[in-house]
Amino acid sequence: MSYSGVKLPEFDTLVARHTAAATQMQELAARLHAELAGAGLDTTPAERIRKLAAQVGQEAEDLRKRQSIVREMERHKIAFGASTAAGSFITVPDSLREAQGQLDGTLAAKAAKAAAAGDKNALKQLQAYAAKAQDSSFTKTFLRQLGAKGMTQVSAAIAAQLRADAAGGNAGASAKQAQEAMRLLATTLAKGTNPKDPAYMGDAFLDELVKHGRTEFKVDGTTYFGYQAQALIWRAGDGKPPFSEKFMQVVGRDAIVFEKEKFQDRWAASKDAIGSALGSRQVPMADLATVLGVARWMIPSTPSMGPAKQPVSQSPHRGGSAVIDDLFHAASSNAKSAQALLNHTPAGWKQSVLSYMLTDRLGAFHFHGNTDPFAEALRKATTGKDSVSLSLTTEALNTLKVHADKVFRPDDNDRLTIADRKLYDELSFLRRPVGSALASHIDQVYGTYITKSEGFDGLSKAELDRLLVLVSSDRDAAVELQAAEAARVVDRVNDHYPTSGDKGIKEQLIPEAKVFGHLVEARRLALLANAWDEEQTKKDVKDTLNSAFALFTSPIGGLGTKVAGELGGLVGGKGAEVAFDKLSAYIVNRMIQTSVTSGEALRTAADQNEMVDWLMQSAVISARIATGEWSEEAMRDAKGSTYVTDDQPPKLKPIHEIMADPKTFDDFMEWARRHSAIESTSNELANTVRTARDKTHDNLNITGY
Amino acid sequence: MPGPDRELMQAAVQRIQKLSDDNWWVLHASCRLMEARAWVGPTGDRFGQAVHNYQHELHMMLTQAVTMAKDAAARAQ
Repeated sequence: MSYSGVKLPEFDTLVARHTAAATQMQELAARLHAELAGAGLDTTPAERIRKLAAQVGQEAEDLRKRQSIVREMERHKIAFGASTAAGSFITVPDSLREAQGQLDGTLAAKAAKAAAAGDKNALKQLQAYAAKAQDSSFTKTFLRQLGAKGMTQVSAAIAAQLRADAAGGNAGASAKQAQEAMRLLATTLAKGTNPKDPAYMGDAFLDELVKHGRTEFKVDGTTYFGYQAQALIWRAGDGKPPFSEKFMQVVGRDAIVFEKEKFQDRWAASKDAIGSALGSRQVPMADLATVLGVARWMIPSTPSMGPAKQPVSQSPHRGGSAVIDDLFHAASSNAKSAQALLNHTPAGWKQSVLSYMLTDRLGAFHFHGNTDPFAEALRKATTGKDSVSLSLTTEALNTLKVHADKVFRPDDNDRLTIADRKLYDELSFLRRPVGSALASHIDQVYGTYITKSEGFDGLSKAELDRLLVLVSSDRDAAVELQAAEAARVVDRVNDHYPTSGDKGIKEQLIPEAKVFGHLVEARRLALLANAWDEEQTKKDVKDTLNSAFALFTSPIGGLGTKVAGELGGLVGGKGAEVAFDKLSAYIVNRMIQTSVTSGEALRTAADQNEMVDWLMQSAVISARIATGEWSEEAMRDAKGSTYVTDDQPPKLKPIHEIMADPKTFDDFMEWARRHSAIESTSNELANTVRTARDKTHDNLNITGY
Repeated sequence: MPGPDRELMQAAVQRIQKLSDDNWWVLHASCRLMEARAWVGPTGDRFGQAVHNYQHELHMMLTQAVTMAKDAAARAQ
């Protein structure tokens, strides 16, 4: 890059003279115009000069901006100057924006250093730069001047400031400034450690973060490891921008290893005879805000991320957070980052980070109870369509199956019971993400029960049954799983129908009915194991299925998203041109939605088995309607109805006409149901669901139902 | 005999010539300072080039204005 800068005092003279020139040229242009016009001459020369004057004026303005940046740099003694024989040169970036970013970055870094030294006003100043953090030249300058060590110490100083407030009877007084400042640190750190960001500081900066993460520091008499302060930065991020995969590979993984190095002896002691007798708990490495007792002022009270409909975790928090919790918070906004942590076995370890978190370190999540970040990171890492998602899901299931085997045991009456309540409780925060992972990989759930070869590696049917019971005690997890299976049913019918019609449809549906049977029974057993009574359970099992149907057809559900864009085309009169599977999907979506709203399926189905059967029938009838082929008998029966023409024999009206009127559509559906061959296979499907239930019982050695 | 038109035109020529003389060097300082490396770098270089071009164009426009006025005065004789 070529050198860019200004020479003093020549530059100041240039600014003054160029500014004056602009004014002088404007006057010249005006007077010349008057003279030429007065003499009846062509005014073009005056007009050209007016344009030149405007351009010179614009340049003069840019020059003044550059000059004010140079002055600010001199005033704060941050100019890179050099006196040469040719004059006094000051280095200034070529682009104005970059120059401004560099100046602001330098001033912000100065404020941060002052804040670290205990200057309260500096914390206020720092807050003012929050909006600048997205600018790459700002970020680069800020990080370069603070360094990894400075970043560590500044966040520690901010936490110490909050503690000083509390000690002085002004608890929370600096909370807002502290949060803004922390967000600034988080944004700059995330950008500066992402190789894809223009502000990337290079690999050496990541190594510096590791080095200082492992170093002991002191703030106001409290000793801490660098990572305990850096964790506050991780936790302050809001995912925009996310911390990169690279950051997690270098810093994140090391933080996990570091905690284990420092704490494993203590953890072993808490588990030995004396420790257990004393009720010792597994204490994780807390972040510095938690150590200082200021976590609640440090962290904005925004609910943790997760599906919008999910309530914020109800678990009793101690208002604190472990370094590792903060790390998973930072990883949870990006699937690749979350995978970089979990899908890795550190040097010298016998297990992956994922397995370690689910076994040896499991108890440590519960010391502070800040379990949402890990749950969200796990969900993010396992719910994609990529192969890493699947292999992490498979690993999680194979790790958790050992727990599930300890948790659930047959009791004296051969009914499933929770044999290890403590472990069951410790696993509860994993139900939702593991449920999502299973739902995302529903094809492997199917494979495990039906084809075996396409199932989860290393997982038996019985083990999957037990895991399903574990996750299904979380209602949302059960709903998500059943909605995923409902999507499989509809897809399968729509794949089969255009080529084969009713022929062989039963054979397609029976294996799906089996899978449904396992899913539905898992929910039932989970409730019974939690001491629900039969009546309550019976009702909930049906309700859960109904909720699954509702989710499936909602705008975010598997079917809802598929038909969302089609509605306009269908109702707009293009029904005949819509492809079979779109039309069929639209009809079944409408059918299920209507039933969910009116409670029809809930009312008419005697039990969960019949509800599954109802879903399957709906899928088949919709496919049939979409193909539009009906027997003579059916058409005779339709005579006089609003959905047929007056012809002899009557013909069906175009589908978009039928769907345009709700009453006509309902009548049509009812007629279509009456004339569908699927009714005859109905018992068989319901029986299949029932048989799958018995199979589940056999798998789990429970026969007392 | 010079008519009143001609006198008026001659006066206009003189005023335009004076405007040209007074403003001829208005961008000279900027040009000289840039030659003296008051601001260096890619953007500075572009600026320096532009200022020289402006000065050149300014001179052309002023010359043209004076020439037009002189021609008109000659025609008025």
